[in-house]
Amino acid sequence: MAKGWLAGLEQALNVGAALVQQVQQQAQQQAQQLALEQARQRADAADFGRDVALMSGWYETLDAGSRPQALAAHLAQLTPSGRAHWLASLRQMQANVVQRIQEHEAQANQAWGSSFEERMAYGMAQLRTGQSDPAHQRQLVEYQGLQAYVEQLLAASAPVEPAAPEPTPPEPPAPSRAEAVKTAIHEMTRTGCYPGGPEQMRKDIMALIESGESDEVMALLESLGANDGGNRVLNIGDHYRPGTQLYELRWPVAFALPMPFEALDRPTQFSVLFGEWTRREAEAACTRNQGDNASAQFIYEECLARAQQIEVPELIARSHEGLASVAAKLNQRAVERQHLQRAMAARDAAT
Amino acid sequence: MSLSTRRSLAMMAAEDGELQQADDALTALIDGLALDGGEPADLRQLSEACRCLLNRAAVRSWAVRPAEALQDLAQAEALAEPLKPLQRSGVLINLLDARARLLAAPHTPVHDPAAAQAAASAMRAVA
Repeated sequence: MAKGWLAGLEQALNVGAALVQQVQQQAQQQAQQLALEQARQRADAADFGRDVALMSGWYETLDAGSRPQALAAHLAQLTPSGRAHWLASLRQMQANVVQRIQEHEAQANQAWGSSFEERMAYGMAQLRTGQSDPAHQRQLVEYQGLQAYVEQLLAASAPVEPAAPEPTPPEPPAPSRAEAVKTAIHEMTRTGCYPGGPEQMRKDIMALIESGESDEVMALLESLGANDGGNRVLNIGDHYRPGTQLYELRWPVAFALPMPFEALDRPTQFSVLFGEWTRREAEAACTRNQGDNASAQFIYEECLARAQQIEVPELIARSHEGLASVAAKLNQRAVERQHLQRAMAARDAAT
Repeated sequence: MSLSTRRSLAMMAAEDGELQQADDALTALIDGLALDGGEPADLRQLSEACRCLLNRAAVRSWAVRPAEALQDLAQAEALAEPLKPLQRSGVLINLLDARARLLAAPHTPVHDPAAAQAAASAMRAVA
């Protein structure tokens, strides 16, 4: 029983000790905060006293023209926090002066004494003469001059607010890719050259086709007459020759067919091969325009073989014309003439 | 569509010195387009007709027939009017270049430095 009572007492003592320790810590913290606050106030008071002394020195010893220079020199050596203290001191001085003026004005009718009779007599004298007590008036003017001086200092010391940046006009939205290509095409009609060259034009238009933005550009090219030069676009059906034999697939097809080539009927096989000739002929022309004559010649010869396989005279003629154009670039006049004559012969045979 | 091929062959003949043969071939092509009797079938043919006239002007220039060459250029210029910008600018640049060279050549009946200068200025405007 005693043992249990002792244990309970010990526990209670421990709790009490903890509480005492906690209270002591709080008291220490409050004392530290108080000391810090007092130190800060002392420092502020010291700053204020120093600033008042400085300002008073300027006021008493410098003329009006020299005071701004002294202020500028003082501000120049202040840190940002020092400048903030200086401004706080000026505001405090301003408040003090205002309070002093108010007190001085309140004492005006007590210049001859504070009793009711004395204040009445002073008031009557003011009414008779229209003047105030000269000493009181001098002091008031002194205070007002000090007030004006402090306000000047305050105005000159206030941080200059950075001028608000002039609103910049919003940048025009970046032209879309299609717009940029259209601009380049218009430039081409003016200068004869597409910016970046024909290959860049091809890339730009291919990119538009892939992104589905090509309609406007194609319409523009059409309106400018891009389709009015070169060879006519051919209608595949006009060149088909009826027959029973299926075609042999000699070159790989660039696009995926819905079924094996061999399973297609003859007209469909013809359309596939005709389309493949068109694709390869465009590649040959592009390769030639890039200056790769050997590759262009190789592709045009492949085109000729493709055209002969499907027996289309116009494609045979165009293949020869392509070969002639390469020969012209290579300055092979005999070869050029030969291909041109074969092209004419192919067309003549068809009519 | 063998018009451009025939024109190319005609110019090869001219480059080989066969000026009359080339002139005849080009004249046959131009006549075939019925430029005097009516409009060519379409803008593609019109463009090709302009090029035939430009080529014949070159052949006639080489044949020292500058007045006739200038006439071909004037006809090509008139025909190029309805062409769309891409085709027209291609025709006009070559046309004005040829005209400036013809007019600037000294000791010819068509020598006219001021007109040559005007053609060169017009070419710069097109380009």
